[in-house]
Amino acid sequence: MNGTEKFVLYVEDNPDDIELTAVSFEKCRFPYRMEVVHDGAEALDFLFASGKYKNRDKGDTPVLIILDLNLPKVHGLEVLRRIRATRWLKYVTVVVLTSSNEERDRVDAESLGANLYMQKPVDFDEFAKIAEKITGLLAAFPPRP
Amino acid sequence: MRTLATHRRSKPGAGEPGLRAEIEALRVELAEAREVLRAVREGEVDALVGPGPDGRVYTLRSADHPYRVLIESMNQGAVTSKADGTILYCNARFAAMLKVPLQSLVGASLHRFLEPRDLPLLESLFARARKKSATEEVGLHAADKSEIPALLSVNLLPGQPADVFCLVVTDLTDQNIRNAELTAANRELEAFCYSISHDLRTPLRGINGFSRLLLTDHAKGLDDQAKSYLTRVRAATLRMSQLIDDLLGLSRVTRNGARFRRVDLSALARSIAAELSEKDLSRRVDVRIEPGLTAFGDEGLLRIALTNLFSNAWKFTGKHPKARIRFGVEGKGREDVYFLKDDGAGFDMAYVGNLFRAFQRLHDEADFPGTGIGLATVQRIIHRHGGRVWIKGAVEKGAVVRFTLEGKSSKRPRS
Repeated sequence: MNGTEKFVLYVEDNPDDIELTAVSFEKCRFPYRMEVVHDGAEALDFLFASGKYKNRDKGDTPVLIILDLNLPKVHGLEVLRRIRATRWLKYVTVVVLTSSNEERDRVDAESLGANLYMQKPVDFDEFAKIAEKITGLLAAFPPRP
Repeated sequence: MRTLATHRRSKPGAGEPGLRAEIEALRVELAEAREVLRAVREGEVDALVGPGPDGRVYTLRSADHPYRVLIESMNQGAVTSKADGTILYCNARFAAMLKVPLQSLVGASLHRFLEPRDLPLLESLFARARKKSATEEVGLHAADKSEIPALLSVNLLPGQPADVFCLVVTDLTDQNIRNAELTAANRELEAFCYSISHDLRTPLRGINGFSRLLLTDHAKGLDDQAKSYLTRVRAATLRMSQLIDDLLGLSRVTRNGARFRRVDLSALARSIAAELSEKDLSRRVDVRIEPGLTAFGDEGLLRIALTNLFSNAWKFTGKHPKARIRFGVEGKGREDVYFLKDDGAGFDMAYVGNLFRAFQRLHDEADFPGTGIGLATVQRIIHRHGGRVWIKGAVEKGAVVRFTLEGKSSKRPRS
């Protein structure tokens, strides 16, 4: 793993969603490498350099975290809460990308500090638009070096 | 011993004939009094009306009888008590509630059978009952030390020498259990709907996405027929996605609490019509909305209902170059009947019974796309408002949906 390259952390358990998202971002010529973890516990291990990621450099933070909510082991909202409660992670841009469009989830995610809440669309063309939107967001507000 | 005659002679001017008349009068009075006493003793009298500010009526046991039967057989506890809580009378139901023998209650203090924390509430009830009937939820303390949730309704019976309070006691135990069960069931339903939506959409995304990728990135390896099939696969996934959304919407109507207040229906209708025309600028639809329509209901739910109705009217007038949609109210007698008319494709009245069932469609998907849940949702919302909804139509002559809302709505007077 190249520690100096900027990257995005993508937290998602569904392999089909991972594939479709990766392809969408590729088509937008997304400039960053995508690091994928498959459940909430793995996400926390990655970010806090524990478990199988204990040899990671904690300071090597992602430029963006794309977070699904319905994750095995640890729920997405809990991961979000931990991120926002951590000094060196609380300013990282977090986009919640989830199946749910329940008002309650949106409110919870936004009150826990998600920067953007998006519902995963069934229509792939809409999905592609989301990838463009996120790419545009990062281009407009490039992360600090 | 002095005789009556001797005594009488001392009065001036009476004389013997006056004396005899007086004795006769007294004898008649005595006979009447004896007769009254006899009638009272033998229960022939229903009521005695005495003098007093409001002509007090005192009824005897025989007239009491129907009321006694009522009190003893009703489902609630009945108690009369003094202001200090001394129980003067109670029915068997009350004794059963407290799990004590009836006899032990008369003369006992109500205070003993109330949870200590609710004693101030009892005092407050008695105080308020002096002005008008007062009701509170309290905890009763039964003989087996269990607590019984109850509704106490207190009325004052002013009297001599002191006031007496009449209490009706309703056992809320069953109601509380049912409420708890209902809340639990609703929560389960909510969790179920939530997970269904999520779990059904996920594979749909995969189907839609991968067919799309085949069409865009691997078109070279596909002939026209293959591309056509893949396009149909995608269309099917989008239809299913819409279906899931509509089903969720339908379930949300029941799941969510409703806040009832005055809603401006005309403004709601205008905003919905504006949205529809913005989405499809090519359509020319003549929409007339009666101004000043208000109703008492939940704004969110009414918006969903009107959106469904307007969308339908919009959709089914789609094939008419000049379409007309009217929204207004007909005041028929006591209730306001709202109507939404369109002059579109209409439907065959023979199938009207199907229209409000979920998933029932009377038209070809290709002509008029839709999931067929809209009217079922509208019906649920209208019923939630205590109203009725019905629809009439004719093929190619349009349709009119009429509905009422609790009968409490009213038009603002035109200025």
